[in-house]
Amino acid sequence: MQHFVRIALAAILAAAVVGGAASAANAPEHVIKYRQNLMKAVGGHISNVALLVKGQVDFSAGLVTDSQAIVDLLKNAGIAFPEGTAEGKTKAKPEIWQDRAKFDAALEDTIGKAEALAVAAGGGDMAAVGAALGALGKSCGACHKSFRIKDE
Amino acid sequence: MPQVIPNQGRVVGRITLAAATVLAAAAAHAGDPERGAYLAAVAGCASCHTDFEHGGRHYAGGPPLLSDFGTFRAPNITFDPDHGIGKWSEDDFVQALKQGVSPAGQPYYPAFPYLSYALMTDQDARDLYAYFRTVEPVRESSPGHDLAFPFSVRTGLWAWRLLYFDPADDSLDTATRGGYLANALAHCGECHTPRNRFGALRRTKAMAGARLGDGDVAGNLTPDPETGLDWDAVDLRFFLQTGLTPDGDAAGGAMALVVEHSTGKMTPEDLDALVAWLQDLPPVRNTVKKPPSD
Repeated sequence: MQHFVRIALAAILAAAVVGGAASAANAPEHVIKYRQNLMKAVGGHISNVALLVKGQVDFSAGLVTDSQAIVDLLKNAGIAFPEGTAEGKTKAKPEIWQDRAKFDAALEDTIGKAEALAVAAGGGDMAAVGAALGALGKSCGACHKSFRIKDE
Repeated sequence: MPQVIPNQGRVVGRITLAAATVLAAAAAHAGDPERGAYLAAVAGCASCHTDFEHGGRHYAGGPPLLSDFGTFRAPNITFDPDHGIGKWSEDDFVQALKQGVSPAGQPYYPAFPYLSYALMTDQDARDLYAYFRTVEPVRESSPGHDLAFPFSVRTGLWAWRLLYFDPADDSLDTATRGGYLANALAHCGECHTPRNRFGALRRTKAMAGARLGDGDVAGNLTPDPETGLDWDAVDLRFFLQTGLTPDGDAAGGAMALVVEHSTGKMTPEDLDALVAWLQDLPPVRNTVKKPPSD
């Protein structure tokens, strides 16, 4: 019996610690930092694909990696906008949380365009890559227009 | 405003004269709707006259356009006779576009970029008319402007026109294709040239960047090394096509609409001309300041 109580107490204690750790993680400023890093990373990979499309570099060996990275990163973007992170040093508009379905749909559209870019990158036809990149850019812009506060 | 009334006659006289000139020329060539469709895209009509964000019908009226004077709403410009411009003749349309005066003789607010469109050729204006006649009419009125007094009183616009609208002004380049695109059709300066406190464009700082009514910044497009655009022609062309900056960021704000509906639809030749013209602008040092509340 005493043994059982001890195990139960330990379990409660463990739960409290984990719970405490969970509440310490995802502070709004860290979530904001995370999603800003994520978006910057996406931008870096898009910039690299664009450098190739524009003929400013000819490192076509990196094309598939960069394109796939955009898809993978964007698939993590949804979790980076939880409730309660509208305040602080962020350019995220409150509309993200006021109309979450619309935001999710906009992000889904962008992921779709990124996947199309990755497919085109695999095919290696640079005209197709350019067209897919253009479509991705428009999708990014549409989401920014609705959900990002413009700078300065 | 006693000095406004006698002047009004002079302006009306000038407009009548201009309209008569347009009328005489109109008989020469009928408008080409296909050319007009392209011109409507380049001129970015849809960006202001369609409320894309809320699923609005094409050209049935635009989203709120915020300014220092209040909120403007671009009207329904489909050819519905009651809610749009269905009763307009070609001359009415050309006068509205190039003179900024409605068929009823009312002056438009310069939120409608008629000072730019005044630089448009009559043939382009007629092609636009021919195109808009083919757009599906929409039977709904768009909400009107919501302006603060005294800007809500249109009569004041006659005085404004006397000060700031000179139809004979040829100081802006329209002789080159790039200049014609930038200054007349795509009216880049309406956002990228700063305005004075009466909302008139400051020509000495043409394309040198401005703060917009909604707080957004329209960047300095001149190649000033410190405050201007340092992109090369390839970057600039790619941006106008896709909205993607050299950093891989995507334009938001009004420029996203411009890329989607105007520059993104330009022919390769027009895009090249516009880029070359922009790169050739004299550098103007101008940093767009943050609003005082920041």
